[in-house]
Amino acid sequence: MVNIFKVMATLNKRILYLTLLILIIVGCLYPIALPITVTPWTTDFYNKINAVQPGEILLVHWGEGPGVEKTMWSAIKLTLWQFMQRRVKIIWMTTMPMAPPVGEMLLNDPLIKDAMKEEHYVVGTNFTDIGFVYMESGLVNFVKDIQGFTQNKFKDTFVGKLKDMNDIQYCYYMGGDPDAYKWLAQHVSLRFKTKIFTISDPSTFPTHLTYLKAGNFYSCLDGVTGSAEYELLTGKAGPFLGRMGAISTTSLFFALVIVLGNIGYFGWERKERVKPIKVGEKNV
Amino acid sequence: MYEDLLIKYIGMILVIFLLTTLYGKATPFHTLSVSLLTAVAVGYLVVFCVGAIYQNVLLVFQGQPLTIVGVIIGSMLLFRFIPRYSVLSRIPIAFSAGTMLGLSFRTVVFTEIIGFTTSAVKPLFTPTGDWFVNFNNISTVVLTATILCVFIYTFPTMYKGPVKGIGKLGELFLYGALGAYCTNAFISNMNAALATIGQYLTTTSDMAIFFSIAIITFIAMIALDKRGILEKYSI
Repeated sequence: MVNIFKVMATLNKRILYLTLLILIIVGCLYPIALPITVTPWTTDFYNKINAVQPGEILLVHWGEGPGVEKTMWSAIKLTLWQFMQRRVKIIWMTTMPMAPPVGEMLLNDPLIKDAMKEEHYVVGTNFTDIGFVYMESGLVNFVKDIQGFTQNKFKDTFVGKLKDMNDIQYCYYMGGDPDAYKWLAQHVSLRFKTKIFTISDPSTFPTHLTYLKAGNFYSCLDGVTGSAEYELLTGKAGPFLGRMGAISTTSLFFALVIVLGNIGYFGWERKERVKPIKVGEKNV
Repeated sequence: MYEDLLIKYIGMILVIFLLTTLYGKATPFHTLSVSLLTAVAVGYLVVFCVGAIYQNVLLVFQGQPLTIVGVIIGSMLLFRFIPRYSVLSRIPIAFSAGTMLGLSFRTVVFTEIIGFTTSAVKPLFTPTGDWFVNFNNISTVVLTATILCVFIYTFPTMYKGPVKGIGKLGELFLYGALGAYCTNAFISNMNAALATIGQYLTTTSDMAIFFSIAIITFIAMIALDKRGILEKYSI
């Protein structure tokens, strides 16, 4: 008699990945319009940006690599666009070697370019790119002495009037560096009480929420679902809204496979009293 | 225009080559695409770093002579290539590790220990509160207490005495938390896969090219496998 638990536990992974691939392709070819609920975090993020006052200063901590264009581009683009609608003064800081070309791509996006034109963003007046700030030591030096760090290069711009991080009201962390958000919590939020917005992929989002609960961050956004939710909230439909159906279907499939796999192992172990696999021992 | 098309088709080929990993055997297509991606990333990083070093050297002549100390310490890493003096390469590693630790140590206590502990102490149940918040608060407290028990009593004593049940529960919660974390990471990467494949399936011509490349690659893979040279050319 076939042991169903054993079948569930030892199903060939290649079949699972192939099914996943088929689901992705079918989902892309025939998008499923599943209803989307805007999560409380996204609503909070949206409302808090809307509460930002014109003329306040935002430090953009940009450190996203190339992959972000595929995973959470809409959320990145639309949140920056929303900040621009609030007419904040922007300081652009790049923090990762891979980030400059992607940042350039973002600033050249038609939506951002139009927003800069419509809201009268002029380089030097209300938008200043201070360039590359390397690692934790760079950030620490910047936050405590902005003029010293920039060597008075920006004395003719609004950045020239800033002494330290106390003069900057908001920081927006858009980065893929696994440690950079910790540095911001430690050196920006803790010491200067600057309000930090963060955007991240789903794998880092739970960690960001921990910092949010601890009061280190002001608001956090999950970039993947946030992209679709932001397209919904701002009324600027993009590719992510249509893709959410496929994401939900494939995610559900994968979650189901994990649950069934665990039940399979549990049942198989109980039924046949299989010894737990030891380190170095070959899997079945 | 032509650049965009070239990037698109190269991307398409790379995606299909990477997907050949589903075949279950090492394939030269997968090796080629992985090596290419690594080489491009390393090449970019080298160019970037050389630029950064050049900028730092320039600073020395712009009235910041102390920058030379950083350049010298950083250059000492290259001693790794000379076995006789490789011990000297430990100095910059020790220097940077010590500096980073010193910078973060004074603040990490507040942000990651006191901050997280304070946020874990919650009112268990507020009758007028949102049920979702109540559930979150209860689960935060229960999970913190039980998982803490696993680590405090460590594995030999975890299943003995009064903490037996709590330890077992903590272990299960730990598995659950790690499982949820992995699932989350997988779903995140799956979304990237979905978006990457999805961009090639928007027009009929792109779809035709995508599936044609996929079929040709699959046939080539089978042919190489039949001749027994599939894994031979996969390093």
